[in-house]
Amino acid sequence: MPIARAKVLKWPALLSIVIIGSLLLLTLIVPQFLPGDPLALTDDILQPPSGRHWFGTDDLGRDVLVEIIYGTRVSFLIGCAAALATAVAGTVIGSLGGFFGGVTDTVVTRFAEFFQVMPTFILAVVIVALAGPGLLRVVAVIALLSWPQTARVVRGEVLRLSRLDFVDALRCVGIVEWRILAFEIIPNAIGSVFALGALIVSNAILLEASLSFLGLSDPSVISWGRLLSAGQRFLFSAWWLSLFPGLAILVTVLAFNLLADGLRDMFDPRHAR
Amino acid sequence: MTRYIVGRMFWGLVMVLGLVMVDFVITHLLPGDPIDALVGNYPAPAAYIERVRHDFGLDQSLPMQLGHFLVNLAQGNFGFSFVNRQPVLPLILDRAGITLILMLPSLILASLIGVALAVAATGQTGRIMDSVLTGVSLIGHSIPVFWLAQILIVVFAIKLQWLPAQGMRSIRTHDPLLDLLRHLVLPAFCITIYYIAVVARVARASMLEILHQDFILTARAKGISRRAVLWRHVLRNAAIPVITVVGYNFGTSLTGAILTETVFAWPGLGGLFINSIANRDYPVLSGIFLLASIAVVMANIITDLLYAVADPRIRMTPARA
Amino acid sequence: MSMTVSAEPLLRVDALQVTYGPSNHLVHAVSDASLMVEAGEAVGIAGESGCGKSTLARALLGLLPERVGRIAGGHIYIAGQQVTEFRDAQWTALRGHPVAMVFQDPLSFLNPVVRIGTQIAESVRRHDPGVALVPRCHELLELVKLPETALRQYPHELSGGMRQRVMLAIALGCRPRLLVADEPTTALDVTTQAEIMALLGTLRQQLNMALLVVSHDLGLLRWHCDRLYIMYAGRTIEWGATACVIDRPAHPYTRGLIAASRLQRGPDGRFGALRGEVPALEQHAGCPFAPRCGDADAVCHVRMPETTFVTEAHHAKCWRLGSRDAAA
Repeated sequence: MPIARAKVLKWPALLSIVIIGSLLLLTLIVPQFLPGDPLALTDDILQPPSGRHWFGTDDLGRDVLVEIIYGTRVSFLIGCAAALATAVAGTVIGSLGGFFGGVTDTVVTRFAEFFQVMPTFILAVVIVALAGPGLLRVVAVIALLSWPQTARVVRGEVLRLSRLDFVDALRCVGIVEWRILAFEIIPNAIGSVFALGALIVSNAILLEASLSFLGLSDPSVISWGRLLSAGQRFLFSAWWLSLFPGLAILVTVLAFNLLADGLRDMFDPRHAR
Repeated sequence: MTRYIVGRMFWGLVMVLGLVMVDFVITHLLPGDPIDALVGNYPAPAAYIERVRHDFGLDQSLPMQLGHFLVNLAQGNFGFSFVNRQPVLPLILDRAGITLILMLPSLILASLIGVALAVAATGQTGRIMDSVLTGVSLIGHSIPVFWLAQILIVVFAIKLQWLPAQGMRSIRTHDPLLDLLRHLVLPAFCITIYYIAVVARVARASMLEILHQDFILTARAKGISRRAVLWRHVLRNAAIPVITVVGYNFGTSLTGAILTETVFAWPGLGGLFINSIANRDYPVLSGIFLLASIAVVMANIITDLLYAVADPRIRMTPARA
Repeated sequence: MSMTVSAEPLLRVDALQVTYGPSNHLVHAVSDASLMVEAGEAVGIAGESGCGKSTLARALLGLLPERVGRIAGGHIYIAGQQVTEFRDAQWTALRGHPVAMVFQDPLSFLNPVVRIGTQIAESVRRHDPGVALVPRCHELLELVKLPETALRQYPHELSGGMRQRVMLAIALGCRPRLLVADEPTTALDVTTQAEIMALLGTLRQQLNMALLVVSHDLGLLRWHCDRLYIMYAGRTIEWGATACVIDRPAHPYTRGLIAASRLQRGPDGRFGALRGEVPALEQHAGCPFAPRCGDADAVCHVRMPETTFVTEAHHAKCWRLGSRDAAA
């Protein structure tokens, strides 16, 4: 099992786990302690950072720090959902190509190449713009854009594993092909997807932020990208609207990228040999 | 070599055709009526709408519409933009040129800086530069480009007032070239950051690998200087993965350019794109999607060709996946 | 073989020590190696894998891996000049001329994306600045018996033997007085091996060039070298005129090596074999061969043997030599 081969995580990866953990805690716990509706409109419009409002307030008088904390939910939700969807799609498609080879493999490879050639961001924007916003739609679009990368990695791993002798041994015993793929090969190939998973989350968060920055997300949901698009409107007068939400995005994406690096080192097939 | 080129172009064509289909599907099957763009909120009589529909062939069956679509495309007719009152293709090409003014220098600069960073990181002052490189690479991969744009504007344009905040040109200027460059600095910086991160990481990995290769020993044994070894042997080989990574990331850089243009109000494709979404200008959206697709396919083909030129082993081995 | 040294030897190595690695994890690749090469001579260094001969060869040109490999002791003299303390910039001036080097596996030792002609020309430009490039390259190709068309080709388009000739051409472009060949034939098939060694011999005559060949193949070295050094566990343990060393080996290891090299069959018609394994490259007192030696005494395990004079042209490091008949 890949878990058994895992080595100790180094400090950047540990740091990233601390950051991610803290953010999760913040977003789950802090709202419980806030009296009333913190997202209600007030009269404290466009206040710079002060003792009362650490990150200032926006054009509707809402505390920016509170908005950021609420926005964490959307980012994590979309990030993880997208990563899961991508992982599933990529693993299924990639393993089919890697295991069965031949025409299936050619189809899979060309298909993935096709998606990578597409200007995916433009497509995503067009789809969301025309079909309307909605968290599920955004998740689906992100998965649509990111699956080729996962598929390629899984295909490579599955290809390598399929050539090992134990597969032939299983065939001799009479195990059906798809059972071999599902229960023997894929569990061994999964390790490589973990590192990629963290990377997909970070890409998903960036992508969601980009989409909501362009005004293409659900207006009733607070997200960091949306805060930045408000910041764009008040760039000349209220710099804090831009600085803090963006910083939140940077820190979170950075944390997931560090985690991805750490996981990659841990599950690197070359190290595990 | 010719077989290689022809093969790549053939697949490129297939891809483009596929993308054309996708484009058609997206713009014709998703909700939203192109006639709305034309009519807007004007309470037009139903008969008029019917006639407009007929004129534009929107009442025909889908396969018929697809046929017309393809024929038009082949003739270079990408449609007409009601919002901008111009044919789509010239409009898009015009704006695309402006985007290229922003993108190309950024890509070239980013590649050079990325490689320079990697060379510095493997040199004598290795350790420090290596940490710098890793740091830059991480930040570059993690920073949202539109946020960086906003921060740069706030710091350099608003607080320090060194550089202009928006647009491509000033209204009154004595030196148009200098003015253009001043407007170019901040947006270009935003685009280069991501690219520097990508290039530096790939270049460093590539250089480390090459430095351990045996032929470097042969080169050193000849008694040529360290610098000659670096340029003629190490970089000649290490540059190859850099070329491929820059070329294949062209699509990503397009994304970055679009987002950056939005923040800086740079009058290129990005701005047109965003406006067309708001205005439901389907012909323009469709045209941009197609143009971007073709550009990415071409970028991939060019990268494949450059790769084959740089690495003779590729063009001479008959089989290629 | 003349023993009177009329001029400085081209290459002299005294008790060289080479280590790899950080100080808490030191590996002694070469513990005590001494050798000498006169102008025009052909000298061979023989030994099993891991005995340090390749490291020794690379140390001669300062080609140890940077930051990892160091010369920890001893001296190297090239044409009378001490080079042990040289920094890389000083080594650069010395590499190619007077000492050039060819390596083992030409496919990985040639730049894959640069044409052969350019790689040879690089040598020429560095060491023969005034000369016309194209004629000189043709000259070099002729020397190594390669066709002119090779200039336009890339390494992967040539066969192993042709690539090794290219390596030779590159080295010869430096006009070396001493050519060090590190396992020049190991990656080649038997027929090509013979061709390359013959070529080396011819070149040596034509250009009055000294040759230092490092190989594990005693059979090869026997026919092409005037003098031979045997290395074991990072030390030169026997050396002398080839005929002496091969026909009357003094050191037990050499005897075992010769027996195992299929140079001669044993009394029962079988080939011999050496018992045991090559030791790990660490320091310990005593003769490194002692654990495997059939004749080992108590003193062999405790103190490193000193050099014993077997004949004028033949030396070895073994405690047993004092009491044995050197002609046995």
